[in-house]
Amino acid sequence: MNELDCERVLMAKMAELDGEKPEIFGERVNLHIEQCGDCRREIEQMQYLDHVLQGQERRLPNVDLWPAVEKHIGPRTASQIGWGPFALIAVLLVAYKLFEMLPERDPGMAFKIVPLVVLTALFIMISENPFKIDPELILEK
Amino acid sequence: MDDLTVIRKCQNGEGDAFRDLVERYGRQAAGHAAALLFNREDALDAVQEAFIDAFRAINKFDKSRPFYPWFYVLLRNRCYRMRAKDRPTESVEDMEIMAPKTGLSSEESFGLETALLSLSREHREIITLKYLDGLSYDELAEYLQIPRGTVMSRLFHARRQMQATLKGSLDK
Repeated sequence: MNELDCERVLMAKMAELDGEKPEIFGERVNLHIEQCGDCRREIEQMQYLDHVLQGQERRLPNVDLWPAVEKHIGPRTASQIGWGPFALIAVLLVAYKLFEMLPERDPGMAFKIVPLVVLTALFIMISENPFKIDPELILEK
Repeated sequence: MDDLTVIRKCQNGEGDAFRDLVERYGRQAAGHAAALLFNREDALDAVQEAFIDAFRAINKFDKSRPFYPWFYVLLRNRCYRMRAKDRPTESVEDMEIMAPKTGLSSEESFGLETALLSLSREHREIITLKYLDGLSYDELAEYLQIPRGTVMSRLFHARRQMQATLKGSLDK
């Protein structure tokens, strides 16, 4: 009697029947199956299931997704612009913070407005508001 | 135009070229999403969003690999996120995943679809990819991003569960 458990045997047998390389050798599997009525019964049932399922194909719905997808993939997207503009913003913000830390500074309003202007310009440039919740994801009927 | 040419064009900023991929794989993707979600609206929603994700990430695509397995991972992620919406699955009468190639009575087909719907999402996914798309274990591992051993084990348990649901007809 071999020491393999039924689950491992069944997995190996199904792999073999699927035309795949099983993880345990066929001889040991076959020996177990010869001696185990439960495994034989289960293999028969799985082969029947295999047979029934192999007679099926996937039902493919008729859909035209392009119009809906096209709306969302403009010629210039954030990913195409890359990280450069964002790095520029980070540098500007760090520079602003460093300047703020200098003693006896007199930055005026300009330094408070500049980061906001840069951010606004960037959003306009990429034509994409990252905070916007897009309500246009409507399904094509 | 083959996938690679289309992808190169997309990477060069020709967004219209992406249309080829959407038209080539849209139906297949909708079929996959439907099997995962069992809800037509959610499925189309997921496919649409996955294509948008794919376009945005097209620069990261490894051109030495086929497009669809890569896209399938994005689609799958979208489908799993759909769960948060918690929309109910549709009934088997309204939502058929399989079409019989050989003569199967309508009762048998209905039984099979019902058994498929009764499976967990992961089990349903592996059963449909294996049988309806004919994927090998290695391909399943790639599509599902799991080791080959897990493919064997998941497929085994999925078959066992489906077999238990179909037991009545199998015993005949």
